[in-house]
Amino acid sequence: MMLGPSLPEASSLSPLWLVPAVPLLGAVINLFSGRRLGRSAGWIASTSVGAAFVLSLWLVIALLERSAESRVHIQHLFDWISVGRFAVGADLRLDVLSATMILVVTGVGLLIHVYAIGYMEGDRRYGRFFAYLNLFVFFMLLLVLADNYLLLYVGWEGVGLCSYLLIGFWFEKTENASAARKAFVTTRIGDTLMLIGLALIVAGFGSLDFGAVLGAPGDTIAKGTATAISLLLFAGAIGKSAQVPLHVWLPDAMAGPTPVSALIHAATMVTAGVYLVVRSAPLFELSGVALTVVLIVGLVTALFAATCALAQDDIKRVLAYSTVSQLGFMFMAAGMRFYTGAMFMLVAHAFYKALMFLGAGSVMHGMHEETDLQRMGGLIRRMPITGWTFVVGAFALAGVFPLAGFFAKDQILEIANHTGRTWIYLLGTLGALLSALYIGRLVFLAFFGSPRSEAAEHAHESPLVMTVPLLALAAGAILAGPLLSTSAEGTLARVLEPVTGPVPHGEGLPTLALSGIATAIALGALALAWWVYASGRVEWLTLRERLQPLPRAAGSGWYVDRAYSTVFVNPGAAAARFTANVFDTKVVDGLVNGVGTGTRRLAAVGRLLQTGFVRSYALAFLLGAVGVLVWVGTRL
Amino acid sequence: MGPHGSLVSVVAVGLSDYLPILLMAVLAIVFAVASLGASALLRPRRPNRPKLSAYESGNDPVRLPGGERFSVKFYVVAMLFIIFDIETIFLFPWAVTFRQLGLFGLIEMAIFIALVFVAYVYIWKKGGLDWSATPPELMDDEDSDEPAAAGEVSLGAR
Amino acid sequence: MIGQAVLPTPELVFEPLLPELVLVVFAMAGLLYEALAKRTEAVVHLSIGLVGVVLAGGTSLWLWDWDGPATVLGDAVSADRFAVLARLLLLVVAALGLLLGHQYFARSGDEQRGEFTPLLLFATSGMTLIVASADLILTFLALEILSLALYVLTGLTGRRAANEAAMKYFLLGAFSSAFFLYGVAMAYGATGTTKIAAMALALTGTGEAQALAVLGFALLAVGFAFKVSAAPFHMWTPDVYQGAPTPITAFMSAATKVAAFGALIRVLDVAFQALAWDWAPVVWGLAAASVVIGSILAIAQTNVKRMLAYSSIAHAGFILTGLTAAGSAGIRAAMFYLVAYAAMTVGAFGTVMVVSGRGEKRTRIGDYTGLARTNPIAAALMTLFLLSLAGIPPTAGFIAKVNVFSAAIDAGYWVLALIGVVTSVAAAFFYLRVIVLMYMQEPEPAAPSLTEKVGIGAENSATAILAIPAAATLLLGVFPGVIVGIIRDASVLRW
Repeated sequence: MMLGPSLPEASSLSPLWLVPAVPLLGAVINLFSGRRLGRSAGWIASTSVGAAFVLSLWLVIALLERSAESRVHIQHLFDWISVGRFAVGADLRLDVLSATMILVVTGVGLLIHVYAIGYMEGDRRYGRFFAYLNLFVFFMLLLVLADNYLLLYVGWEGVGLCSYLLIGFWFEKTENASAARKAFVTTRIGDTLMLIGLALIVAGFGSLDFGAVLGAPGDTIAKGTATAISLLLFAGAIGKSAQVPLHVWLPDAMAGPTPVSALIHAATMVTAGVYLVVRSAPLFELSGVALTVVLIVGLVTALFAATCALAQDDIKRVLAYSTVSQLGFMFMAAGMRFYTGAMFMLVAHAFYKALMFLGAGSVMHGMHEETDLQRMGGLIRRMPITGWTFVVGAFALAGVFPLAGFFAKDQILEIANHTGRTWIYLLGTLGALLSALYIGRLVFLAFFGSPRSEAAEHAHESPLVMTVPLLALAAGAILAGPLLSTSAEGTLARVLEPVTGPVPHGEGLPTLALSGIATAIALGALALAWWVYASGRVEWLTLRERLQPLPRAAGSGWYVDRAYSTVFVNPGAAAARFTANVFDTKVVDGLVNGVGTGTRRLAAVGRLLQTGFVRSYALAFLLGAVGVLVWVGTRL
Repeated sequence: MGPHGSLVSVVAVGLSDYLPILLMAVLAIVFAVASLGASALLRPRRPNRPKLSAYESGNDPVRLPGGERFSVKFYVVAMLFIIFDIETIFLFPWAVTFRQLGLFGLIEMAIFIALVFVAYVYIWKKGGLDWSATPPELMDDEDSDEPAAAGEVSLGAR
Repeated sequence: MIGQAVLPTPELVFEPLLPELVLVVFAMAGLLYEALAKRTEAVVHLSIGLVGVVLAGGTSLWLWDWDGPATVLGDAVSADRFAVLARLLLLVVAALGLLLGHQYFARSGDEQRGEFTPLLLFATSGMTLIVASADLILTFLALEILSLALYVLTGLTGRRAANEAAMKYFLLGAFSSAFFLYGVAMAYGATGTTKIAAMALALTGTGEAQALAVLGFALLAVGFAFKVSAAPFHMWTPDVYQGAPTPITAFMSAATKVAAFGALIRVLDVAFQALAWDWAPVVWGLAAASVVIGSILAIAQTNVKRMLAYSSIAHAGFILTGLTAAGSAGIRAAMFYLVAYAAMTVGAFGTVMVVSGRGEKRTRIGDYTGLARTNPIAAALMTLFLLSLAGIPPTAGFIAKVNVFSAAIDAGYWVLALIGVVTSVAAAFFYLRVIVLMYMQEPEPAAPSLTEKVGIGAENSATAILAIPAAATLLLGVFPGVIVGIIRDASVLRW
């Protein structure tokens, strides 16, 4: 049993600290000598993540060899902060939940690193790019391996920083820089609330360790406190995982290089919010209300983002809104206490969404950075590997049997049905329908039909270094379902059970009927998409005009951005202008020039005493001494 | 009663013998303040120059040192005198009890003399003992002063 | 008299005094070099100083594992780890002071002052002696050694402002010494000894309040309060810190506090340990007055050096806040604070030195307008140090403040902690104001960039020196755990 900090005795799990350390080493090497390394910077970065992956695999196998109850390993690295009685250590925690996460992060991360070697070819800041990417992997691993909320928060902020740096990687273009800023500021809202949540945890539990907080007896804190803490933590998750209402940064974040979109904004960082909720599940369950909030936010986001995705013409923006929507599904699952379902969807989604992002990058690579769906078409003949792997990813997302996405979504809807949440089930099914529609639209517009531009006709397949990761991810998207979870209580669920608790049970429609409905909906939606966008029998642009203003509104994300500009950004800017013009000139400059009359008055007493004459100083000294003696004398 | 009583009892018991002196002092102060105060209230105020000048037994007042500049050399010499004076005074009792103090005393005194000796060499070489040629370090070097910019005349006067 | 028995003399155990002996020997070597060499080189002076400091540091380190008697030379010098840690901190500050001073004189265009290095070493020897002193007479001697050296250092450049500062410091310092000495006399009257350990023994177990001892403590406290610039004995601080050459301000603001607090801790937690109930209110009052006065008056300052001087008054109050908790909890909090404070204050004054330029022309707060444009590195360093002084995470100042507040709260002085927190918020204003000026406003068109003035080389090496306190400030803020163990070992006073 691993309850206390690990002893220095040798354990098969003691190299745990190397998992985050190796990518950090890669980052340091690339940061300081990336320019001299040239092309090998990419290989160094990939090797470091690869090593971390192999190591993770080894550790996870060693972990699974233990009996189910003892699959926890806590490694105490050093005392980090100790202030009075409050102490936080730099502790890593390897349990089944973090094991799942590190495999996803390093595994998918490795493939994306390799892909990026080809994709970033010829970039001026090649080494810098891989340094940031490695740094990101380090912080992400720190986030999922942390054994206390503070270390998790460090990783949380670290990935945010890397995201900021990578979205704005090509900062020469103003829109990239402003997208980076937007992402940073928007997520910061959630982060700040989360930090308040951490403060409440300290107040309530006197500790930030997972063991102390999540293993505390149920009556340690009041229900209201638990709700407050859970909602504040969830606010952080909303920001990081781009849920409504803080989703606005993710579509803009697509300004970054495509491997970044795949790694950070699809597979890993944005899923940190889901991880946080699953990890903190005992707190959310204590509250109860908080779980309902998670469920509703997830559902609203899933539907809302799906409609937006349906109307995007930019291939990466479709995928971005799709990611937001899929994350909504994960939160739905978590909100129904189906944590294993959320985790399974997280894993499956990491495969097929990373696959599609990389596919989109490959398309852009082959078409001179073209991202407009209207200028594509028929690409599958020009770039078969990219095309067919993309189709696999899309079908997985749409929920076609037996791909990973099918099991993931089907199980979530099944739990909704079986726990008596009929409305959730119906709306979730609507979400699934919309998902199949938008991804079908994307696939058929881009890869099928006839080419609609010069570039599309002359597109070329990408080099091997990019297509091999595509094939590997496609294999993952196909195999993840059968291997990990063919039912709500599949392999992954059984493994995760010691951390997440059992899967909720209930009665509802038979599983087979639900699967049938889901498959019918997915295939029907895909067929509809084919008929509209690729059969040549429908003028989809005319159709779109006829439906105006609906597509325009959806395409703009239902004007949420504009609303935020009006309500928050413009008044904020006005306040900033006021500060700059009035506050700075009047108050700050006033002080600086020594004519701030207010401060003069404040310091009037002080100035009277501080005359510059030694005799008055000595007098003050004497009075002080007399004061001390009198003070002491009165107490005798 | 030892010194472990309260403050009041220390004063009352330990110092009771001095009570008459205290009373005397209080009386003196009261008398001085009262007579000066009374005269200030009662006397006519018609000042003129001789009345305001300092009283020096009927002689014309001599100008006080505060108004004149003495050479800084006097102070240097005075300080050096004190230093070496103390050295001598310190050496004398040591010499008397040299045997009783033994090795400890010898080492302590060696350290002390070494320190003073180094100071002596330093002062000698720097010209501190030289009355005629005043070394620049010890001069009131007016020209290296900054011009007294407005607001920087005196520290702290703001 | 002849043939009389040998007088009782202490055993000759000089090892625990080695750091001071080394410092004094090198100081004298510096003096002789200055006096005897035909042409003196600044580099030679610097080397003498640095070698002396490093050797003293080495001997101090060696004393960490000292297993001889706890006190030597007739119970006058203590050989515990507390003294070792305080010495090491002082020696690091001294090394930084030497390097900064070397830079300062190299570029100021003033005549080289060969006395700088010996005086600084003498001052340091007084400081390292005072933290190890276990006898109030020795404490007083060490206090005078460091004070006299500091008075001269303050006026070293001979500028009018420096002379004025030195004179004020000297007069008021002499005044405070008198109080200190009177306190020693009272304490002797109460206990019949000046040895700290014997004093503690004499005071324990008598039970009653001991008027003379408390009076003696109050007078000693006045003397120490002057040295650490705690209100209401702080009046000299702004004038002296502003008038003294900036590297010397950097040195003395950090080192004097470490030294005086080191000695004060011994007096509070050993000698007057039994009277904790009586001295805590005095410390409480001094702490409250210091944080309030330091923070409020800093707001009105227009000169950066003066502002930092008031800030140092406030920080003295914070350290005193930690000391209200008697025993090793308070010592730990205060020691961490001293380490953090030394790093950030040397850094802040060092940056002021870099910015002030030749002849200390640019020390007004207005001179920092737009510094981020003209000298981004100095602006970044200044920002770091100011954030730390303000106590904003992730800097050393934050952890240090949390430590002293929690020590005070644990000892039951939550009102004092509350005062500290509130004034910290107020104080953040004047630190942030400078940061805003540096980053959010355009430089004055007339403001010359630094590189024009002193040349890139000089600026770079000064900045490189500042990397040490900057790294310490960050490291202690992010990984305070690294020195917690050391401080825990050092917080046990042996007597």
